Amino acid sequence: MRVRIFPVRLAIAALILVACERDELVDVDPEVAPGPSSPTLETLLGTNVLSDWADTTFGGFTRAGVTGYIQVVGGAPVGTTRGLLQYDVIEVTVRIPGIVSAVETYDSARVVMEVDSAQTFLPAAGMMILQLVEVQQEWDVSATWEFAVDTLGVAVPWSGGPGGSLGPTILAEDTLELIVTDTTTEMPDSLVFWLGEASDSLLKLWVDSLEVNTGLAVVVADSGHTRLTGARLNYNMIPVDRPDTAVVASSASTAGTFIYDPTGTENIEGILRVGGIEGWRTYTQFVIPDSVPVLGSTDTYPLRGSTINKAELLLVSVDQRSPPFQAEDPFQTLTYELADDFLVFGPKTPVGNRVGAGDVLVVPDSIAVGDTVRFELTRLLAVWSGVSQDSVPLLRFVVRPASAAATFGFWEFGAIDGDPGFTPSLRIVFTPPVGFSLP
Amino acid sequence: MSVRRLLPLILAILGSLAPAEAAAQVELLGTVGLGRPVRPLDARARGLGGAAVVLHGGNLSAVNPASLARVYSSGIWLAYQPESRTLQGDVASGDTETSSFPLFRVALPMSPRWVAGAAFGGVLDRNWGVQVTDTVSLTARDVPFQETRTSDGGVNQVRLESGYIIRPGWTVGAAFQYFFGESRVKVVRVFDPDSAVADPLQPFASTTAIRSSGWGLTLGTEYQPADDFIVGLVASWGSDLTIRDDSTGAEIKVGLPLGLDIGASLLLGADLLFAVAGGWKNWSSAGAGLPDSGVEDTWRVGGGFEVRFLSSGDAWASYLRLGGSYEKLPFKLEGGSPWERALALGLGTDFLGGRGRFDAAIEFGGRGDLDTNAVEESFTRYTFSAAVFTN
Repeated sequence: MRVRIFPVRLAIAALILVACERDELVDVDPEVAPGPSSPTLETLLGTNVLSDWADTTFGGFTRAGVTGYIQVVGGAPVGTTRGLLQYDVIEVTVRIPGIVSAVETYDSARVVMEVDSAQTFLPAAGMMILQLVEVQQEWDVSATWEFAVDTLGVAVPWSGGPGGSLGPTILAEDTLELIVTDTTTEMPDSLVFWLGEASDSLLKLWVDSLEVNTGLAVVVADSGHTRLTGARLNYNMIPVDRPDTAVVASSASTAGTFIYDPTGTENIEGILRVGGIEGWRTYTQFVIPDSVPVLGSTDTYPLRGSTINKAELLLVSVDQRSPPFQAEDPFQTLTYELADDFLVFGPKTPVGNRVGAGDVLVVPDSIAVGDTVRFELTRLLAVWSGVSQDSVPLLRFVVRPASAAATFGFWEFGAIDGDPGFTPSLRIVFTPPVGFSLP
Repeated sequence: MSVRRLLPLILAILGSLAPAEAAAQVELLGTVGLGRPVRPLDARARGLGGAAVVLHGGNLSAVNPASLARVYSSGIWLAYQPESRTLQGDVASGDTETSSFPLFRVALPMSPRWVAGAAFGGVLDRNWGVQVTDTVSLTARDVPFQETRTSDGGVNQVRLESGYIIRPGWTVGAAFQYFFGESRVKVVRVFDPDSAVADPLQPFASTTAIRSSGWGLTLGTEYQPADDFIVGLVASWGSDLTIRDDSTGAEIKVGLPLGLDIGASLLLGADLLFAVAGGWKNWSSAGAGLPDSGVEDTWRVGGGFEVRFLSSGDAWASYLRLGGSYEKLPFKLEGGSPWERALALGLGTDFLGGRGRFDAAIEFGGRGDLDTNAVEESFTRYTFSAAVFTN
């Protein structure tokens, strides 16, 4: 039996393998192609068509203390910005071969910072002077222009008034100016603030556990705008047991932030914002009708049940306000579905799943007044299209910066209650289901 | 070979061939009506121009249930049929290939006079696929897209059949047929198919399943007044074929046609056979049930010669076949129902004293007429069949 069946099995296996051949499709003129199909349509829905539309902006989600950089600005009509630094860890013991000794003297202390040349804008004079001054009041990373501490319901104003309680003495100064050679012009990549004679007294004050470490402030003496990173305190230690020896030490800052004036801005009627520090987010909700008019036709088509090929929120750029709050750097945005009503829960509205298939890059340099920025909503509408037609879900979502800490300022768009020429709208490309017919 | 031993093999084969489908097969002629009729023939009958009502030497096609009575030992057989097509038309042209299993059959002699059997085969082929390249104009940009419209599947049949020898030279048979099947109709549109863009449109896909079911009855007889001559007659009838769209729930009933087939097999010499068959089906009766009525009665005639050219006693023999067929298809295209014509060349061998058999046929033909039907299809159809019998 085995002998007889084997050839049959072999033949069947061979036949099945042969059946797995590739078939090709015949190209047909689209006008007369046989078989069922359905057109892909486009609709542009204004706020007048989308019922229950509401939009607003909430900010204040991200403070400057989390950015990792320090922005300093001076000389502008508004937007003076100062950096704050704190060094809590100062070496008190010198360890070199054969000797472990207390520090007799701190010498040649200097704060070294890296310059972000892309975020440095020198005044017309081609140079800006930055100064290091002592802060005379305890503060933390929640500090703002108005308050030394502003967190968890605790707000401690600066004793010296808004802008920080700065000491009268300039501890150090450095100048940021272009390095010009015969062929190139370069921005220096670092600043060095030498503390000079103040080194010993200041560092000993900081290591004295009985005294509060109030740190340093970086301010612009005249005018200019720069962004600084990697602030380190380098200093020499002279041991008690060997006064002829200097040992170099270095400390990273234990706290750093920047404060600016004015402290953010209140929401303005008719304006939506998306951007970085302080984390500006646009909240929107609306109801989409089940059937919609489409471009190029007077007919309406069922949107519910259709395949959503593309859905975008179109925000129209308005005239931007002055620096420092007009975003200057390109920034990524993300769109998230909202799990509840932002008109009730405000900034604390819980956020749901991410909506956009791709991030939207807002490029300030390329956006003019009246230009449209498109925020991806395809996934949100695809889910809406697939739900039961018995329900009328309110679509709620938030557009937020991908990393509020990565940029400073925001970009402004028209809201529903703003200039009618700048109100938002919704663009949808969709394909209704195929009306299959029996033979 | 016992039935118990055959059963696992039968189930394995059924599992592999059940839908008789191939992905995205193309046949513009198959897009109209219920599709393209499929006949459950083996390669020997194909090589003889489709003459499968009666045949000397064993008629394995599932056409005439009376032929079962001439199967003297248990056996199974299977046919496989790939086909290459070249389409020419005013709006479409191209090459495509399809494949299917038009026949699987088992036979089990229950007594010297009575043979029971079962068969699985095709009835209607609804495998086709077209591709459209176009552009949709949006406000942002014109978006190119590629759309495929495909139908995969058709209607198949399971036959429970029996042949009985009333007296030497006269056999009768009956087959109960259950028709069933599913065609998955699918539309897929892919945007920007040849390039990556920053704001791609999501692809569109919509699909449905068209299910069919019904039943039929076939009665047949063979009469052999002399050793060298057999004549046969087959009549078939079916109930309404219920066709249902899964996506909408819409349903229609189409009356299956009454069919009559007549055929003869004549031995012209010790090594030469001539077979011929003709048939008619009143497909026009089905037109009332179809939304777009466009159905005509079909006629079919075919025949061919078979020559035994190599043999070794009863141990093995080889055969060469030449045939032709002319057949009207039921569902109308522009200008009326198309005709199919084919010339066939076949080769076959039996071995192990008749316990094994392998046949192959190649047919060159065409369907439709470019001037009349605005579309014409030339095809090369291959049919391979294998059979194995117990002692």
